[in-house]
Amino acid sequence: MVMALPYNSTMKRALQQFFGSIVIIILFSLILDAAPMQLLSPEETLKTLDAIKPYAIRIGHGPKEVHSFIDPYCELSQMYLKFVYEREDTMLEKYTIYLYLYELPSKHSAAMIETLLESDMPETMLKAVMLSHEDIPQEHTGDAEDAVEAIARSAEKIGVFKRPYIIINGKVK
Amino acid sequence: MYTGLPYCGVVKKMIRYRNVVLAIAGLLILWASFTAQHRISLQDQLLWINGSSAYNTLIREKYPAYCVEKIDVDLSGNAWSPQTVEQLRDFERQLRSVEGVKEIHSLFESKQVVNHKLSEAQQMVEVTSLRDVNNSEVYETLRSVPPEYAKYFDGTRATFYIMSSKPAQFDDLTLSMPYEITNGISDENFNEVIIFIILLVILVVAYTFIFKSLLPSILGALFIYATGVLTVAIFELISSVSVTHISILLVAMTISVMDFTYIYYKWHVLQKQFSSHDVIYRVIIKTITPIFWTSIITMVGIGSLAFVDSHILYSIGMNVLLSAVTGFVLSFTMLPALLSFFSIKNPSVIKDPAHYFATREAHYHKQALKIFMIASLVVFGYALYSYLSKPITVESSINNHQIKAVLDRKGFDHEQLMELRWIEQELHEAFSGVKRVTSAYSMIRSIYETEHPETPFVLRQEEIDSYLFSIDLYGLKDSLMDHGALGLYIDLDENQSKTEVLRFLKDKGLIFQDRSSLLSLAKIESIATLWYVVFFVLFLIMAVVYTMTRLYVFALIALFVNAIPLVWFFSAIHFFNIPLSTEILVAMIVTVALSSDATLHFIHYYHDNRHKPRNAELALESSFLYVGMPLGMGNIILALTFASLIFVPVEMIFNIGLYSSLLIVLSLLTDIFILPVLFLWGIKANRAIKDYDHTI
Repeated sequence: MVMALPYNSTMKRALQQFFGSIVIIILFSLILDAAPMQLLSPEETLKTLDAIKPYAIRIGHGPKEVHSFIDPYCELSQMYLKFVYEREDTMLEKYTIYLYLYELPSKHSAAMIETLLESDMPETMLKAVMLSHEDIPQEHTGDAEDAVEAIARSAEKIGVFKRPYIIINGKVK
Repeated sequence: MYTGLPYCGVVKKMIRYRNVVLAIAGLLILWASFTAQHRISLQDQLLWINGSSAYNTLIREKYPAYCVEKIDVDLSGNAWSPQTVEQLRDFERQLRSVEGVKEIHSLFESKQVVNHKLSEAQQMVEVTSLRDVNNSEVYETLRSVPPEYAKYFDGTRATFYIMSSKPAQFDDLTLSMPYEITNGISDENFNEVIIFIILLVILVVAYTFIFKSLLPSILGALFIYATGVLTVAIFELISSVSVTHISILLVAMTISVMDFTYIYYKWHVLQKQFSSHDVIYRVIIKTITPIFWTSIITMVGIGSLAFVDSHILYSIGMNVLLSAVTGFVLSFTMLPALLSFFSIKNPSVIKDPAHYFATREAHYHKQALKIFMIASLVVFGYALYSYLSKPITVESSINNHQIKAVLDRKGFDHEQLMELRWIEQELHEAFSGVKRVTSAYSMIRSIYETEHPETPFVLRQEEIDSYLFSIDLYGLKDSLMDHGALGLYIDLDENQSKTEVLRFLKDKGLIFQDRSSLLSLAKIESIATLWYVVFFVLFLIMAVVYTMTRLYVFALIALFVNAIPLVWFFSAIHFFNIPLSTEILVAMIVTVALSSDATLHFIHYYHDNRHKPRNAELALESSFLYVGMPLGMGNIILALTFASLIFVPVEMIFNIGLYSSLLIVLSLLTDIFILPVLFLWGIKANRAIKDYDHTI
């Protein structure tokens, strides 16, 4: 009986550690497997987006607002923009689309983003880069740094994990 | 000439002024011949659709109707290659250029939802089609015959569904591969004059053969032409329906054939006994009562269809009504006036079988009659059970496996998407033969499930703008909405009864757009109306027979005799699952008209004869002589005429010929073998009937 007690408590502790680890592993893998979630509520998201609206490239003049985080070098963001302009009669009439240029690390588009944000004709330039794939000189003065940072901060807050990341009524599509 | 007898003065005057009567009739016929536009059509689909409640709703809500046509291109002779793809693409271009074509559903237009996932950070769903994809890529995509394209491509066949605002003409298409068009609207062209020539030839031959004289052939042709052309002219003058279906005209002419046969036969057989003018008087007096009452039944009974919105039923009702009126008027004006110019010295007819039938039927087997009546009751029970348990199928067109409809409210909101969801769910639950329902709901669900394969789709009110954005972004609005309302396409399995699905959907508040469905719905609607008309006519026959005889037994006999052919016919329709068509409708109307005609004539003569010192058998023989003979002649002539239409190479005319001739024979057999026997069974021993000779 005297010998059995320390043995049992060691076993108990080992078992506890073992099952605890399993639970942690399961939870961790669930978190990894699950689709990244939007971190803010729709209301908070809209509030956050309000703050960066001035930095967005705005297209269209419709009553419904659509917010999209895109990378100018991301193929799927380009496809998204192509769809919008293919049906511009409807899209620009019905929606006001706020395009937030947010770099995908793998695309190394930071300089181009700044160039576009500093441009006097950002929409035209955006179309030239994303739709016509024109080779535009990347000239930027650093004036857009605040904008880039603000967009990045808001994107992280909201939980933007992919491009294009489209938000309608505060909810990711 | 008789004097002091009823209507004698009128008949005398008519004969005296027969030239005036004939001149007026001639002028009217001339007017009708030149006025009638002869807008006679072999095409019945628009007549069915126009005026039906489903079509009226479509018009009221200002939605367009579409003809859905299907073209199958046979690819079995060609190896699948980019060149074949190019040929199919070119074929689709040609189809688009056809006048009236609004939309094409094909392998090039089939929408597929694809999830582009370049990395965790780059994802987007695209709704794509093969329209802008190059031929080599299309060839590669379809080489493995992917199931998502099964509706349009199965490796050996490419299918194109064409939605057009009017029946499209595909005459100028060029394609090296064989293809088959199955369209909703028949393009059969056949000169209707040939049908009337057939009718005329059979009438002339039959009358000449029966009466051994050319006179009835000439007078018959003239009388039937006069009735027909006046009916058409007056119909065109007063009706808003611009065309007359050929079968309707045939029904109208059937009525005049019988009127002529009764009158001429009577005139012919009385030639030996009376002078020319006395014969006219006797003919009029003897035939006016039954012809008057049969005309009343036809006018009020079948003519009641003229108050129905459906153009086809309205046309039948109006034409039959007008034919009955003109037939009655001409029977007692123009026809006697014409006959008064002629006399036949040695009138003869083919061997009179009246005596044979009367003596044979006088010794009928009571057991056999009982068995027949019980069998008819069983058949009636079967017909009733079938009608209530299994809806009658309706024929619309060969391309019968697609339904196009829109919701009854315009707009795009959560409630409407939910409605689409319930319709889709209920359809799949109720019918295993519903292959696919394509709608905004199904597309939104498909986009969501492709984007989030791990999460079940739930339609959410707060996501409605997001759904609409997807529809706009992928340019799906035109294919999923029509004039601002959410639409849906339902694809049915070939074995699925469309009638059942349409009956189910009718209560869901949908507005149907494809003509094939509108046609089916119009026919479904007509079935109920036809039931009412049949019951009304049967009731009317009973009422008229009772008015004529004041005997309930006769009224019951009339009911049995008129109901029997219809009951057997309806059971056959259910038993063989024959779809309802204009041809069947026409056959039924012909049967009702002929059957009531025969019943009234027979009952009138038999009842009249029993008041004379004649026993039942003698009265029956006399009735057979004066009614059975023309009844048999008229029915056989009509059966032969309709049977001859079987040789016309147009499916619809073939069917009219087949169904009508079969039903006429059925009706004749009932009138010849059942009606007289019922007299003996129900009347002979009924001593309660005063003034009858009850000698047994």
